[in-house]
Amino acid sequence: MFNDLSWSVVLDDPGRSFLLHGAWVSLQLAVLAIIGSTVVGTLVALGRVSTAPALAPLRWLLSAYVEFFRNVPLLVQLVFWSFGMFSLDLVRAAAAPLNPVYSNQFLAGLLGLTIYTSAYVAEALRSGIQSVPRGQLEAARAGGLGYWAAMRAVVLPQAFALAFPAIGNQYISATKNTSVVMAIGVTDVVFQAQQIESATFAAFEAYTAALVIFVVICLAESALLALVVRGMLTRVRPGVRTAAPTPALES
Amino acid sequence: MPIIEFTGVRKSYGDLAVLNGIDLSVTEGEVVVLLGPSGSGKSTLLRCINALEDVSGGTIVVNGRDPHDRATNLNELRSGVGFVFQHFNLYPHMTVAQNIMLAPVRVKKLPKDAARRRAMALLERVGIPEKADSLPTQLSGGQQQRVAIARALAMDPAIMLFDEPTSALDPEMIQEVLEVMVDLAGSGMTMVVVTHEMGFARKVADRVVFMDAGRVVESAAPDDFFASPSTERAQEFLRRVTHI
Repeated sequence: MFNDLSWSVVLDDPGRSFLLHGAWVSLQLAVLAIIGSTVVGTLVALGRVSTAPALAPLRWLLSAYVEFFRNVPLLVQLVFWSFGMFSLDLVRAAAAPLNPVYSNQFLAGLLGLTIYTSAYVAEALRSGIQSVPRGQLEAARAGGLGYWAAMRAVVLPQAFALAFPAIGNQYISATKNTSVVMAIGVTDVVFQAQQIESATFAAFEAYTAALVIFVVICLAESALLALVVRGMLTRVRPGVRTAAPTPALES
Repeated sequence: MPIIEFTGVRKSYGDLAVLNGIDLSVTEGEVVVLLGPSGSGKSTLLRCINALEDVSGGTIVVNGRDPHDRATNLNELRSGVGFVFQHFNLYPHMTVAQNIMLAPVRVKKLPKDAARRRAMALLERVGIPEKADSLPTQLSGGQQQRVAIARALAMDPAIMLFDEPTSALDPEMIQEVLEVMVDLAGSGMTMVVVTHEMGFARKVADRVVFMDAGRVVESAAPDDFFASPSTERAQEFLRRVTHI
């Protein structure tokens, strides 16, 4: 029953280069969104755990940021950035210098995905910061380090290690979420699969190829993150390091 | 000229008064041991000296500066005051040497190699130079606390504060930490020590300050204090901590 399938539409050119181009777009989107959301999420988390009374309005604002972007569907956010924001002349002019490399659709998708993911990264990191014992900050402050220096050198490295399993999950989600951007016309893997389908009517082959590409990317990412997590956690939480097997208990 | 001076210091959390008007002065080179039942405010008093806690009233002068005055550069003041915590609070993601080097490199801008030499000298002093490149979690409790003392000494402080430094240790590791502290006291360091080690207080302290309910109840030379405490509260405390 499968002999009517023609895999050559995805394995040979031009289908193959369509899909590879789509994979490259998706990968760039994922990597840039991960980097961007980590930077933004870190700043948001740092703002939210601040305690200075003068920063209370900032904390309120950041908590609104997190709640807002976590509670609006990603697709709605993407449509807003792409068809809403990028319809404004001001925004288009600001994006113009980047256009030789990235289309406005790509930039809108990247912006939406970054902001959406940053809200989740911020929450994961905030709980990581809060699970670093208070004595760590106190010890650094007692040594004469300022608040930010102490956060940077002592608290954040531990918070990242503690929160990394949760943050890593957000990275995988962000990678999977890149597939939504085809709705705003970004030429990602799904978009290219659709192009192949409409040209060849080989729907099963085209979308199977898209599926395989995502499985490969996400599983590789997942394995890489697991490796990083193990390396990070053994230092901060020594209990995580699996002890040498005890023969007496195993026999 | 006292190096630490408390005048009418008060501290409360809501309705709960933890420090009830503390007057206390410590002169340079003096070793003061704070004794008292738990909840009497000893640790809070200690933590007010380098502003790990705010105060609600009164004034404190440390090294000629008020740690609770907004105009004081707290980081600079804290650089001159070493603090040793009950639970060590070593940085688990750094090696022993990196723990000791952090403040000198970040605050004093000491070059890394000079800071490393200094860290090694301090580890020599606390007796564990071979642990320089180990992680804190690979050390015993006693060793960790000795590293914490070395870390506190790395900034060349004029004052060392100890907050129950042996309370979290196994009994057989207490001695090695106390020995480092005795050595430090012998070198002329100004020390304020919250502890339940009566032997240390008796042997090393220049003065014992007994606290109860947020007040200084008694302040005396250790021989006098342990032989004949003048207040009933102190007599009762000593009866209770002298087992069998």
